[in-house]
Amino acid sequence: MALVGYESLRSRLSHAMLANGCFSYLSEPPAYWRMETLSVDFRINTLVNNWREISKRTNSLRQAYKTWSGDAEKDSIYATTLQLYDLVHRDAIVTPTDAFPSLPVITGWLSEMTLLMDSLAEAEFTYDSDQISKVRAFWTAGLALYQWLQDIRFGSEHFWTYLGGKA
Amino acid sequence: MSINNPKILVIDDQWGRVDDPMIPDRYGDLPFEWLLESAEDNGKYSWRKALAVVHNEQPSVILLDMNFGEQEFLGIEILEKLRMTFPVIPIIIFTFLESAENRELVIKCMELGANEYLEKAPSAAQMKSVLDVYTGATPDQALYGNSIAIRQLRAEIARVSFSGSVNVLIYGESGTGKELVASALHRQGLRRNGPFVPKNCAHSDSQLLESELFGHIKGAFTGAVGGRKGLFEEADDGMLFLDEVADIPLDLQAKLLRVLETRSFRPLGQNREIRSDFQLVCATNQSPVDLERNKKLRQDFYFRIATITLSVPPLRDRSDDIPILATLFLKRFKEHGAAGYPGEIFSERVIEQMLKHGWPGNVRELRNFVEKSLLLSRDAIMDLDLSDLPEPATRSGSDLVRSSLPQNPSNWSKTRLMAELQLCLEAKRQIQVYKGEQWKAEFMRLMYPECRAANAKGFQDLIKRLTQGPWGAPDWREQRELVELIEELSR
Repeated sequence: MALVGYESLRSRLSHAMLANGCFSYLSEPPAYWRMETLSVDFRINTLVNNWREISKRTNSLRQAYKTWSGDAEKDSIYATTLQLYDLVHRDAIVTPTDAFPSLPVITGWLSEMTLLMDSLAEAEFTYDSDQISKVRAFWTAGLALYQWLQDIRFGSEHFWTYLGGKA
Repeated sequence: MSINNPKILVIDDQWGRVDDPMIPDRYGDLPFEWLLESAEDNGKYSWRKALAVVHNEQPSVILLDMNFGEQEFLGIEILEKLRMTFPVIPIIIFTFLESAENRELVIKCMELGANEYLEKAPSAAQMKSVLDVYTGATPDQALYGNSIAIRQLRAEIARVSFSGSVNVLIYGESGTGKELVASALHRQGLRRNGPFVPKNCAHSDSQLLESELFGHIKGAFTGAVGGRKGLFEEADDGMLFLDEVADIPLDLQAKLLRVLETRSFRPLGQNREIRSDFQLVCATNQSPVDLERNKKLRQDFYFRIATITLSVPPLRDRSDDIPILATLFLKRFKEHGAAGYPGEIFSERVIEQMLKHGWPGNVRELRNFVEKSLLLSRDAIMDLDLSDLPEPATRSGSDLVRSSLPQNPSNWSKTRLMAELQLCLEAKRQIQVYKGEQWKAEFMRLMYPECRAANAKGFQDLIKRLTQGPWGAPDWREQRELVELIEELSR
């Protein structure tokens, strides 16, 4: 199967950095955030309601932050997402359609997610009641980001909604 | 007494790192010894590293990730090498199922010899329930073996699990492990968080079975002093497994058609319909062709329950698995209650015999033979001859007695009766050596788990016959010992 040029980066971001990384450390059970049999709203509500319990796992919160930040700034989830956005626009085979999220939409998701991550670091990876609203914003943006990453995988159901062939 | 928890080796480029908190944080409280391995060697992930760790640690179970950084196919390579080198250690694929390609990869892993897959990352309870199956804490639930036939079956199970809630019909000879297939479908399917509700329909009375399946309200019929939830309702969000489905009476099959179509039903005596979202898995020991020929199933019922059919191969068609299965059963028996017996390995002669034997009772028969060989072992090398057994290893001593008693044991030939009882006596003596006064409980556990309730009449017949004699051949003391054994067991 022909792969688009950005696939390797997309796969790493989606799989290693988010699914296997940041998201799983902030969810209980680790795969709860992606239970497709439950609606997105239901999942987010549960994760918010269980935040006090989830945040007891200090080591997991620390690891989530570590994955979010990366070893260097260019390796962070924020920077990698922007790199991917750029790579998709420069792909040799496909080009984004009008439905493709704009850069402000993507940076909007990332900024919402950053709020919780910064808050975790400030509270030294312990529970703080101020985190609750940020948890909701984090998962709302995070799940949208994750869905976008699934949709732009070559072969996915919505691939051609977001991308078209290059003339 | 110290408890040695089973070793679980996690080979994962991320969660297998010793400084990663995922496994200790989420699963650290479970009764397992966790070994974490990222398979990294000098900055690269390596199958050699993984193999070395397995060789050194000899884990009970391996959880193997598929994705190792940029080395996309390393998981497959590790699986192939591990399976070749360690054919007995269960390997569970531990991965995210993000895409159709990912699912195909898991199916490929099953074809290459993985035992099961576990979607990342389960709750602690789910992790425990899967590992319990492969560490023997929940015995007789795992589909072991490494033959092409069993690998193909596991691949089909994975494929069906991904396909959602289709009705599945499993067919295979008696003793092949049809319930294990159903259980694997449940563990790996989308309904794994829901209940698994098994029901054996063999020789069921139509009205009783209907009441069990549909449930009833208080006063629905004479004797219904309380309401009872039906199995359809109990299986909501989960799986209903109907074993021996061909024994469901034809009139009841007709009543089930609408339930299977709409997943709605009305408990006996109730006006309101209940909806239950369950997956139906049925099993039979007759092939679809035989079912058709024998008119055991209504055609419309058959078409509804058999959206997908899975065939479980008989043991004679997977003879490669016999030594593996025999080794595993032996290990399990020794780990769970039979540790004191000297048997460690089978002699080459017995292994050759095992490979040639037809095993009409399939895996169950092999399991019984292993149990019997261990109980009667006198030293580390077990050399119990298959052909020396009263009936060539078709059933264990306990099964022979148990299954034959209700059929009127007074019809047994004297030779057969004595051979079978002497086998029991020998087992009793062996158990006494290790358990002393406590022999009876152990004997009952291993040889006669159901005899008290089921076969009291049969035992009485036996005692009568034994005491009446004349026996002629055996030593009178042995005869008396036999009578005492049977009397004691029948109390």
